[in-house]
Amino acid sequence: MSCIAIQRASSALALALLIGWSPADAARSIHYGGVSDPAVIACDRLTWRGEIASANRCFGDLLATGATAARAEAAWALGDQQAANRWFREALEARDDDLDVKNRWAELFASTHQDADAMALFGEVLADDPNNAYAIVGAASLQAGRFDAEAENKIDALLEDDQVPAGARLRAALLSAKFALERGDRESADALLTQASELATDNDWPELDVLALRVAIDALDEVEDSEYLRKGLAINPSYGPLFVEAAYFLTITRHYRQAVEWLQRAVDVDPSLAGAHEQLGVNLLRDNRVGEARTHLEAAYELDPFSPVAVNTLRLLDSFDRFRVIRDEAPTTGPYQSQPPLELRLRRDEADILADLIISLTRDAIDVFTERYGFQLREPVVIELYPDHEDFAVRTAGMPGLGILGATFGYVVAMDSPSGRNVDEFQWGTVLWHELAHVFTLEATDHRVPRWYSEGISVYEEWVSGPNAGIKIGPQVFAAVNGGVFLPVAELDSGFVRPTFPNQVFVSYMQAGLVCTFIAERFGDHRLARLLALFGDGLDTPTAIQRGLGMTATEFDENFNAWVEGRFGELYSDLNGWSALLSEASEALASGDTDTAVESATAAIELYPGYVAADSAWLIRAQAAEQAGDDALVEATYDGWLAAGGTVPGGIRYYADWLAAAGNRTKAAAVLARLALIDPLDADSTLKLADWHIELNNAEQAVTTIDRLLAMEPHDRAGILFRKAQAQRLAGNNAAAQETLLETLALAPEYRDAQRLLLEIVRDTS
Amino acid sequence: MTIRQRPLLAATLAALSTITAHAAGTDVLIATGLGGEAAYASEFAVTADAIRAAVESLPGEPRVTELRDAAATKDAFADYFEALTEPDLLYVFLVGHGSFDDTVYKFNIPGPDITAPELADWLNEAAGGRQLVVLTGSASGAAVDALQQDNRAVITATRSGSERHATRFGAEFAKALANEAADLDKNRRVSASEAFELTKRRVADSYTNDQQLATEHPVLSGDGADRILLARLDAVQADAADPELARLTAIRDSINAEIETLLATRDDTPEAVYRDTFTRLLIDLAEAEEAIELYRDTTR
Repeated sequence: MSCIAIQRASSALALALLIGWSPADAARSIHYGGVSDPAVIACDRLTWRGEIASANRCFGDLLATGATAARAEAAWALGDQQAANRWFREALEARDDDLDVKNRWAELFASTHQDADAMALFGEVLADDPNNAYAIVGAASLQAGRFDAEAENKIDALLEDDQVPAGARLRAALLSAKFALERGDRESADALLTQASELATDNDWPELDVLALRVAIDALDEVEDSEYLRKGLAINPSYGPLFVEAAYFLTITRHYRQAVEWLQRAVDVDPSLAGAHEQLGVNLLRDNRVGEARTHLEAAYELDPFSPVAVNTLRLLDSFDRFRVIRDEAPTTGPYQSQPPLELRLRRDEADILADLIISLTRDAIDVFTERYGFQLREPVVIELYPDHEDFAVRTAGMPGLGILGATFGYVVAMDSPSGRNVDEFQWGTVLWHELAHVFTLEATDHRVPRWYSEGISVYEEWVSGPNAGIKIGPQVFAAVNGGVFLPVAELDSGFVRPTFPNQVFVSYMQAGLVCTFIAERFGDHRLARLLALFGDGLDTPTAIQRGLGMTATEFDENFNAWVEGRFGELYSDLNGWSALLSEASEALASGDTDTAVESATAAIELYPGYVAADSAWLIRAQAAEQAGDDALVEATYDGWLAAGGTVPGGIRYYADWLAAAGNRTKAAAVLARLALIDPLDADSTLKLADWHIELNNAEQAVTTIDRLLAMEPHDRAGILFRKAQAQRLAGNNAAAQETLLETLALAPEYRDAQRLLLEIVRDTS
Repeated sequence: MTIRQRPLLAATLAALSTITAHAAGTDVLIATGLGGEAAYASEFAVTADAIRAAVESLPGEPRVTELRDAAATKDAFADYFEALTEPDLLYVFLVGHGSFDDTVYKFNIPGPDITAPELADWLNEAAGGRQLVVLTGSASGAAVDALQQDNRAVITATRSGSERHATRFGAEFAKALANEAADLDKNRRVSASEAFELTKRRVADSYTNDQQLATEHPVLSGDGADRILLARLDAVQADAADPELARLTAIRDSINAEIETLLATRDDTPEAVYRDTFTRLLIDLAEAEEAIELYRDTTR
């Protein structure tokens, strides 16, 4: 999934795949020689041909008369996993060294989402037989579900060994082909599928899973009438995975609506596919089709009560009662009148605090992006903010524990609420801006934009047009850049999909942002829109760069790297020098040597202006300048810090107070107003801002600010209402002011200031 | 209607007005328990001083008794309650640590501690009018069940006996009594519920600011705390000494009483009638206050 703002401290995550799903499905997959009992295989063949009634009769007989392990297989095939579990246990109690049965038992656990138990059993097999190929491929499949690069190494080894049983090699080839497709490596995928196909034919196994992956390729290529699908359905007309694999790849490439169509076809041919119902529900939710989503999630839960995704997502849907949906139609006049409606889903207790801020920021973003990318949004934009991060994680991936801050599924944006995060580390306004850029890059290209470009545009927009604009790249990324880790642009997607070193996802974000910055600076920002259009035409990265920028991808890389070197080389080649300057400034400040503090901090700022954290040279210099009584430098430093993207709430509050104390209330109010997009729940600052607005006769801003404050359930409600009445009076709206005063006096009838204002209004208007 | 035409509603006023201390019937007990450490002993003393200063600001010269440190023995408590003669209003402030042995709450004093049931017995025997009991220490939430009574509001620093750490409640409560921010209804007086609300917020904020898990959650139980005054934020004005001022004040108070009556019967009043009446009364009240202010200004 490309459409993610990640946590700055995130470790390597395969973001693209997080919203895909684990292959686990309570259904029993083709085992490719994993079972050797002819009686079981005879029943399997009926299943593989889609002769379900006959297969069920066959397995029913087997359940009554078969060997213990065969009964386990039969129970599993008939959907009774509990009985299957008992039979497997009994079979192993009778014969503990039967590794084939142990592997199958592990597969049963894997199919019921009990990965730890499955891994433990595969581990037992491998302890007895380190080369057991079925255990290796089984374990690798589970690791692949967790995006473990080690899984690829294990299956590569199996593919190269002729001694490995054909069935295990076939499974390894399928898994490896899937990995290759995830990377976009069609050539390797094709070769692996050919190998898998041959193995299936040679061993008289159905080609269904090979065909499913070929169907997926066709789906990605938008082939209308896939010959592979026809072939697969001819083998087994009710083989749902023929559609499910395609849906998986469409999902991880963010084609959620197409994924919904394929999943619908999957459950049409096989209504018992719990995993397909589950993912259909999750993807419908990504398209804001909540009612339909619930229907399929409930079906999934009914079929597979072990599915954590179905359970979590249904719980989330139940929690929607605590949320309020607010619809904002586009203004009927003015620059935003052609914009689509907005639909916000906010938890009730913070809806009134955040709604206006979100609407205003979103309308601004849509305006900027419409202009820059020449694309008009066609549908309402849905924005959801979750105070509980785990709710957001479930909304995004169906599971808790997701290390991201926001996600975009087309016209639907979901993200953490500022109330759920430490405001020192989370700028919700910036995250929303980032996600809204994804709405444009996805929708303008019909979701064809490569991941790196979508992320690059979002990061670029954060830096140039976002609410806290400024190129902000952490020292850890520059350290990595110095190590030469930037990928060629043609391969940049892989940095997001299957990272090869810790922090590569984050480095890839920054590289993508820099690539877009480079394009805008070197070729003009209209070329960003041009490239987006080319991606919308379905071109790959090298071709789009050739057509859009007139150079090969390799030439582009050379130019880009030279630009990075020219712009940041001095910094990243001597990060220690910058760090020493920072320490020097900090120590000098602590010891009262303000001259040295200013001098060292200035040198550090010149080297690395984009470092704006709480311990930045900017804030050190501001303190030193203040101690030295150099007001001009204090102001220039804070202004520079804000212009570079400074967002530390304490710094903003301090600067606003400093300006106010210096008598510059107008600028103080402007600075403090920035906090709303960082820490909107800070009641004290909001109150201060409201008072400053009143003092400055900024009636409209005062009313808006006070309304937010009132939504925070302030302690002194009467006092806040009185301020609102003052602001309304300032705005010349005496009727509203009188109404507010009555509300004030209902709480505090003896409130003299409110009484005086009431009399003033009554006498003025009578 | 101008204020001069307004009839007095003294009876209503008596029924609805805020309960304030008055000479014949108000008793205040402020006791400090064992500090254990010098810092706590000192904090309890400061808290008790602030409470004393606050209640002494109330009109009517309430009788204040202090049982501090070594003087705060169980016998001294028993003697105090025995000597009470059904006060109209009784305030009891127990400033200090408490404990809870999973059965009974105890206020820690020299010698045998006072248990919640013992305190409840004394309070019940004291009878009289309304009572306010404030327990500022650890585990005090465990006393609530024993102390609950129709005529009694109880404020505790914790919500249960399992919150056993030393509390910040007392110090914050003392500050709230002299804090304008506590005066939510802007009448220049701090009621028990107003002091409680500010204290509760400040205690929660202090833990949040210190990035600590809150180990105390104050609770107010029982009714009427909003009508029990704890402090005045301005000087007591002897309105009764000036007949004209007394007349103007009585008019203002009668409007206040009408407002309270209207608010109390809001559910039974048609919305349009309520709005018109309320608007008129508030304007009348504002005029009455203005008349008082003007009179004071001209006679100063």
